[in-house]
Amino acid sequence: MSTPDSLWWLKHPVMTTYGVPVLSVGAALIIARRLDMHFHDAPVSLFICAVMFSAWFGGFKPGLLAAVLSCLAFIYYFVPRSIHSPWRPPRYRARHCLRLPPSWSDPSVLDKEVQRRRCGRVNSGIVTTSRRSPIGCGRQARTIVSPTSPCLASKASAGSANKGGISPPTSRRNPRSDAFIAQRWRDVSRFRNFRYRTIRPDGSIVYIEASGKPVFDRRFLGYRGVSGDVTAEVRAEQVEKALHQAQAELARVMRVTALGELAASIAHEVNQPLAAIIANANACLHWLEADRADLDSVRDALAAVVKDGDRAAAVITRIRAFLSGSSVAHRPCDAAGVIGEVLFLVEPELGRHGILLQTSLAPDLPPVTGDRIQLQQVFLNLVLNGAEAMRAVLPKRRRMVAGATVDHRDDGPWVIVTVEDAGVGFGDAEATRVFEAFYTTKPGGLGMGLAISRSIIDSHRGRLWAKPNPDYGTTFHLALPGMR
Amino acid sequence: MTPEAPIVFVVDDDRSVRDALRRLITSVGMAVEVFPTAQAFLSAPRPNAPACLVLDVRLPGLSGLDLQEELANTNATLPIIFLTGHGDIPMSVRAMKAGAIEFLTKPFRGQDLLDAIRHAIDRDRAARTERQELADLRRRYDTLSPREREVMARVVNGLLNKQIAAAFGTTEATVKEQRGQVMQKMQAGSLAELIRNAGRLGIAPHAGVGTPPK
Repeated sequence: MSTPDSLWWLKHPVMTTYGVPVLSVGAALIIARRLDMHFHDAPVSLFICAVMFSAWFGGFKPGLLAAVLSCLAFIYYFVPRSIHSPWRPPRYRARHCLRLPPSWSDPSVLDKEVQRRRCGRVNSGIVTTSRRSPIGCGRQARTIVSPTSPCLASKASAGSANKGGISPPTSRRNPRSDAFIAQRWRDVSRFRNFRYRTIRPDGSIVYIEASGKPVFDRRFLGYRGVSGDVTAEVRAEQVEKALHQAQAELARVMRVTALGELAASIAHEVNQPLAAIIANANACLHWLEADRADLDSVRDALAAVVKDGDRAAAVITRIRAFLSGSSVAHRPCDAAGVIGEVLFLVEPELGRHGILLQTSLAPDLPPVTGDRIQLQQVFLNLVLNGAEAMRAVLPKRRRMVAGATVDHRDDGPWVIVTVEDAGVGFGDAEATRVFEAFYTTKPGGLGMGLAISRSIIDSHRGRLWAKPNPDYGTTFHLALPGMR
Repeated sequence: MTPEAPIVFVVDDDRSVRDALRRLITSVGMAVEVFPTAQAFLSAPRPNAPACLVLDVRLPGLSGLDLQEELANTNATLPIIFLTGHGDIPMSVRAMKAGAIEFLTKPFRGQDLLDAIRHAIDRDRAARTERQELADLRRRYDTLSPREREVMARVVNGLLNKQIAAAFGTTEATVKEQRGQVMQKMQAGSLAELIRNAGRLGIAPHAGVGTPPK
């Protein structure tokens, strides 16, 4: 409970005159230190704001006080020691509070020319992140890593991995990388999260991530900043990348296999238009050879040739797209389009096996984010599995329903794709096992199709599951988060 | 035996192929009728003219091979040229064994198809002539009385009038008269022609006495 008595000091004239400038400059200083790593010009603007603020509220005197305080704070915190004076302040505590790396080098007057050129880069604070060690902590506080003193690298490698150092790294195994690092080293400017590879005396490779800035004392002395051993992290990333690569590669192999199953149908799909083109062209030749060429018929036939050529090209284009590289790119794509393209490829094959295909796509399907080719692969896999399961059943029962609906849930719309077959089916217990790798119910099957499909859908933050139908056959459900 | 213009029937489920074949065949001056399915072809009336059938193997519903079987069952002797987008050996063997003229894999050369069509039409024309003549012969044979047929069977088996008369217990003159009737009704100018016609009717010269198979 505040009473007028307890707040008397707020109304004291000294408080209003001098408290405002002190507080505003303090606030500007704190904000400037925080923002310094992102914006070079933040301190100046903030101090000017503080001065204006004080002058506005207090008048001339508080404004003047704020200006003086700002100047002092700026010189103290933002101008490199080597520039302003030989005076060496007891800064340790302040630096500690702000979690800043330790000291600058021995202050002395910096070469004016260098100062002029480098000031914009040098005069702000040092980047630091929590899990990095400052370079040259404690007794080594004034050691600056320089191109000519690679001692820290050996120190880092000899000591704990966490105390990394910055040095011109030498990785004999990768000359290109060496050249890049050396260039980086010569390019006297601040750097952030610069990751490089170096070799320990025992020959093992270690990855270092460093952030730092150049330090000058008349001349360029070296860099000061933080660095850390990120070998474990890099290795994990590499393994993960390799795993993704392998998965994508395997998925591509499975796509090729799936298309192999469709080869007969695809050959038919290409041969049909080709046959039509040849027949039309022959007809044209006959008409043109006649005494009175039947040009109207020739025109009709040529139009048909163009149409059939386009049709053959469309088949080839889709196949080529389907077999295209193993790189995965997540982009917005429309679910209906994905399904339609697969059905275009697979419909002749279904017809060949006497399977009646029905489709029911909801008109308002939201787009989903994902790799179009991979999603097509999953859908194709489900359709081919269904066709395979119906091979042993009576022809009149061979019916497949491919559908897509939208389900509005709390976390947004979901696209639910279903592939329902009337095949031999399986029980509830098997419904989960079919997604295991190398589990197959097909003779000659590899047992990878559904396992890969599920991993693809997982990577799309979706779900894939199977459910036996009440009468016969199975329905595969595929849920993908839609874009809002 | 009026020579009618030959006609080609095309059964293919693919519309562009169907239209292209129609154009190709009309471009060489032949009449053509196209059907999308085997059922449509079967239910359509067929004109009395030399014809052939260009048939896609893979059709919805009744397949090309099924249609071939169906035609064979109904005694419709129509030469068939098969087309296929993806021909495999067992399929072509089955088709050829069942009497197909040709088995072409798409895409085929236009000239190959036209040659096959001409070959098929020629064969059908010959077969039709043959059938026509046979039908005429049969009609003539049907005008014979039972006794005349028996006489004819014995005559083509090389029996003399005397022997026939002995077998029937009639006079030689009677047999001679009946034999003259046979020659006249069968429109045979000579004994050799009568024997040849009898052979075509299936009355084998050495089959002994008996009624010829219908």
